[in-house]
Amino acid sequence: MDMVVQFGPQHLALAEPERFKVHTEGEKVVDVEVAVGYNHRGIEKLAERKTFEQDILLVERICGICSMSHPVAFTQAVEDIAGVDIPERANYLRMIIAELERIHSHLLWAGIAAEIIGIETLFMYIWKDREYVLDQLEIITGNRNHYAWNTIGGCRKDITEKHIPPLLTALEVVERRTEYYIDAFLRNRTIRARLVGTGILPREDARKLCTVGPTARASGYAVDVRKDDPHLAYDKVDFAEIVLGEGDNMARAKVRLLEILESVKIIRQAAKAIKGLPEGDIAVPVAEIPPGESVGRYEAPRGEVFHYVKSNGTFYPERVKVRAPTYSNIQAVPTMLMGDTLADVPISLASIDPCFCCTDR
Amino acid sequence: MEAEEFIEKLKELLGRNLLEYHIGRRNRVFVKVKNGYHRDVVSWFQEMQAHLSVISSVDLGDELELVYHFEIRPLEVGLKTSASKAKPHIETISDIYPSAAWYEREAMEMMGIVVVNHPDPRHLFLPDDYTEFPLRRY
Amino acid sequence: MFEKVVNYCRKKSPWLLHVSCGSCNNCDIEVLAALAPRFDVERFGGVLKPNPRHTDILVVTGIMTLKMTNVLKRLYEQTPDPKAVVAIGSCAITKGIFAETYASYGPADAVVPVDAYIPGCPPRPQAILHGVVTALNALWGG
Repeated sequence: MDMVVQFGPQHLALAEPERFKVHTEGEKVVDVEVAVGYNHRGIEKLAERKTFEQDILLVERICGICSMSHPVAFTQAVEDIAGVDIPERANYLRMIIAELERIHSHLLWAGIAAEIIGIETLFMYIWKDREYVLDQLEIITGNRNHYAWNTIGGCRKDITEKHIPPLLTALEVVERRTEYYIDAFLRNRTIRARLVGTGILPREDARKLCTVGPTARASGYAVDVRKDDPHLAYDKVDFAEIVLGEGDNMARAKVRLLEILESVKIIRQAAKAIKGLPEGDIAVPVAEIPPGESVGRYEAPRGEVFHYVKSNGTFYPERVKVRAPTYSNIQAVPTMLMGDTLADVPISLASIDPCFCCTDR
Repeated sequence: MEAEEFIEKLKELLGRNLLEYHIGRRNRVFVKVKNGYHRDVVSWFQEMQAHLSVISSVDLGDELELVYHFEIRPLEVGLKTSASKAKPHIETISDIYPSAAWYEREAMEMMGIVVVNHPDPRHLFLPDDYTEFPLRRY
Repeated sequence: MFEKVVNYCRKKSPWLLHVSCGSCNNCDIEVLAALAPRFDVERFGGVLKPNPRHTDILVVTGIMTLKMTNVLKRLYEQTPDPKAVVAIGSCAITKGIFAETYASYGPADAVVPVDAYIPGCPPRPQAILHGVVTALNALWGG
């Protein structure tokens, strides 16, 4: 018997509004229609009316979870147009906050995934541990999210000697707890029954549809802007790119959890590196942005964030184009859901770590 | 492939239909091709397994431009093509790159570019009854 | 007398429906973080429920985008009386940094009547708890 089930725009599984119409034959999914645009705020048009510095605060508020991704991509594009290289210390500072954000975003996802599967205890545990990371972000930047850490030419604040020891202590706790969660996800029979073999995205489809981020890496399509297009200080630190082959929900969960451990490694190396760099050398003055255009790319927790900025020589940008990772990944969702049962739809949807506020802008 | 080699190959492929090019910092390359010839370039990119990041639309005043952003490691290529505002028809590439379909839908509703032969030209982000083109400036 | 008892019960067990109408999701995550063990709204009796028919308090975030406003109005009409609406975050109160956008019908109180405002970008979970408790006391307490 054919049926159409509509998810959204308001539903408990995903915090953001989008509409999915799932066509089923019996319990099996045969087609998915995705309707986006419920979160469209007209940010690209607003960006043309604000100055470059004001735009950093605007693009930060495209998304609350990947709040560092958009400013870094944007400032990189603008710094390219202006032809400036920011100080080495600023690169490390941006990278530390970026990796802390990656940790808290992946923990957030793991908690939401656990809740959608139905294991609320794990959701509560994970979100309690996520608070340690947010504490450190608040101590360093002043806010739990929306850090206002970037400026055109570098960073606005510094990470001093006294910030490092509590940061490293918190990272030790997070690392230990993440290892417990990896164990829980990989060995718990209930979680395995829900995640293994569902929501499969084959490698060839992942490549053809140009997916990005953990969604692509879990299917064997190795794209990671940190390795492919080295920016910030990623070429100076040692970390592994996690690529798996199965392409199911469990692979996507594994990629994210293992990436938390890699992020901890990166932050430790960065904290050591900035000890040798002069404190306070965190920004270069940029007087004006000449006419030109460039592209800023950054590996957000969900994948590649892409900013195209065109300048006409005035204080205001001519054009700002933003493409968030979910905009690419959501086009792979119909392929992922095909053939699965209706009950697996929420977790498969959540496994691409959708951020619809980023997609709609 | 390095930037200079890429431009040479593009010149061989297109001849006079390559209108301009610019090699920027950090392997960012922008090329502009004549309207109608972008599909040949995209097919060549497909053979090289290039990764399509996004398609941007720009209001140039008299013309509307589409910029196709591809990653051909280690280059970051912006392929531009434009059409006049009076007749802004640019052909689709969604048969070569399926994910281009959504980006072209956005360009159609935001900038008013008409993407010829698009499989699904509905509104994407804006409500169905929205008639203006928000991103037009001039 | 009966009224007092009913109000006391309502105040002690508010069921929340969270509707995001075009936000950056940060306020929504802070609402979820209020559920998490560190801030724990469940000790005040609050739970998040997906069904508007079960709701006492509508928690609204975002700038009322073009596509989502009608959905919010329908959810508001489906929620049975007595109900309260709490607008969380700068976007829901004044549209915040998106004040000049073309893609919005206005802040939250242009669409539904709002009973409590919790400012911030995003408001901390403590502020959200404080706001919800203040709203409960103002509406059904004392």
